[in-house]
Amino acid sequence: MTKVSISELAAAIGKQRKFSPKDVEKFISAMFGVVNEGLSVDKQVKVKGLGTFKVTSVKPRESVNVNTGERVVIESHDKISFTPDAVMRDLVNKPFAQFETVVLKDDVDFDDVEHDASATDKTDEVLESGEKSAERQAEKPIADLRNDKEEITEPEKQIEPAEENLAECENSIGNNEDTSMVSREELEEVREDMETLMYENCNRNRRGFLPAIVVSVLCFVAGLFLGLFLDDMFISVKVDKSVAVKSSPDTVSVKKRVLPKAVKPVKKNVKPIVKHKEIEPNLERMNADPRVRIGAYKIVGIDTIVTLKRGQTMKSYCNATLGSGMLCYFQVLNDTTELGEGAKLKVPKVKLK
Amino acid sequence: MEPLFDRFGQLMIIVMNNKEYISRLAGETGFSLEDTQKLVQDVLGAMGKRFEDGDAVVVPGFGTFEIKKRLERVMVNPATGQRMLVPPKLILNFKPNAVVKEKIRNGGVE
Repeated sequence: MTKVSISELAAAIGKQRKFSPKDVEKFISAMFGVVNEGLSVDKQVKVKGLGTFKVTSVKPRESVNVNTGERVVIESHDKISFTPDAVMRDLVNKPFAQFETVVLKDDVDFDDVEHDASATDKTDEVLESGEKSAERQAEKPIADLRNDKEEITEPEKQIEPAEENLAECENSIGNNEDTSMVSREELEEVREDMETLMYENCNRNRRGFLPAIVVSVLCFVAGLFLGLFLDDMFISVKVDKSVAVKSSPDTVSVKKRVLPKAVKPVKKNVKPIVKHKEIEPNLERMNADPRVRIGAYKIVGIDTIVTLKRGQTMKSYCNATLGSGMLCYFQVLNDTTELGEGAKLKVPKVKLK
Repeated sequence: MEPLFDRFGQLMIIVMNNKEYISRLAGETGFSLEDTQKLVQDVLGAMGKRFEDGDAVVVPGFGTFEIKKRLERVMVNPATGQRMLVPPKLILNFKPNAVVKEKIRNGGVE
């Protein structure tokens, strides 16, 4: 997924046709220069083998500023639309060309299918991660094997310190949420890995179909066994680690040094919950409020509680701190539209959705 | 470049087709029509090769051509209520340069 400039194209063509790359580069820029001029004079330019460039007008429409919820009118304007040529379209879509549109029968209940798909996705991800580690381990000498296993168990370590902190403030709700957040992050990472893997597989398929299939099948089988094997490992290691963390604080600090990046986000998440655990149950209700729901942020807790000074109102405090568009978050959190001098004002801690 | 008018003074070209495009390009670069056509095909072939690898091609002063993935989706034919599963696709997307975009945006007001 790299960006290629026209000079690189020019070099390749220059070699092939015995032109100087500079001339070819000039030619390419002239090529698109003509399209550009053509578009400003005519409304449509057709280039065989590439596609059609068209100037289309966009009607005026209303939109909503996501920060403030204000209505904004976007005026009518012209824009360029590009439709690829059939040749170019098929060339680009070659990796997916074998798929065809399928007519679904009436009795197919798609909601169920979608749930099943997401469920199998998860198991796939687990397998996929096993597969990846299998590949990695196959490449490395046996001496590195132990390191690898430790890497894999690192996510478990991240969760453990967080659990401890939370146990101190006896907040079981926050605890659950926190662990689920961490694991969701992991899942997303794994999914990204999987997508890049799949993409690479696609590319490989184009060159050598059979070896790629054989390799991927082998990897899958190896991953399956390794996944099962590691699963057992996880459980035993997890128990060991949790015992170690509780008995000796030194090991915790060592682990933190090893993974400073991984530990940080967990700590951040813990803080607000520790401070203001009493508002936890209300957060969901507040975030469901229409004023918050359409905004770009959500309330994740109370930052501080301040007493309004003379001449200060909730609105003026908001404008001075979070900004003019953020008043609704104050209003929802304090459950009132305006507060005056001397009142106790809760300052929301917000997070971009 | 002057817009072309026919003998009634009507704007003749509304659509610039490939023939017209090649002849204008030839006029600008000084190549013959045939050579121009061949060169254009070479350039587009080279671009196509890049697209096959999933790369984006950036043309300074014009815009970026890039490959985007469209996910599969369920489509409903509103007339018959028939549902179809449309497969995922890779499509070629063109994003005009900010300057070009602005020029077209303002130039379009008539």
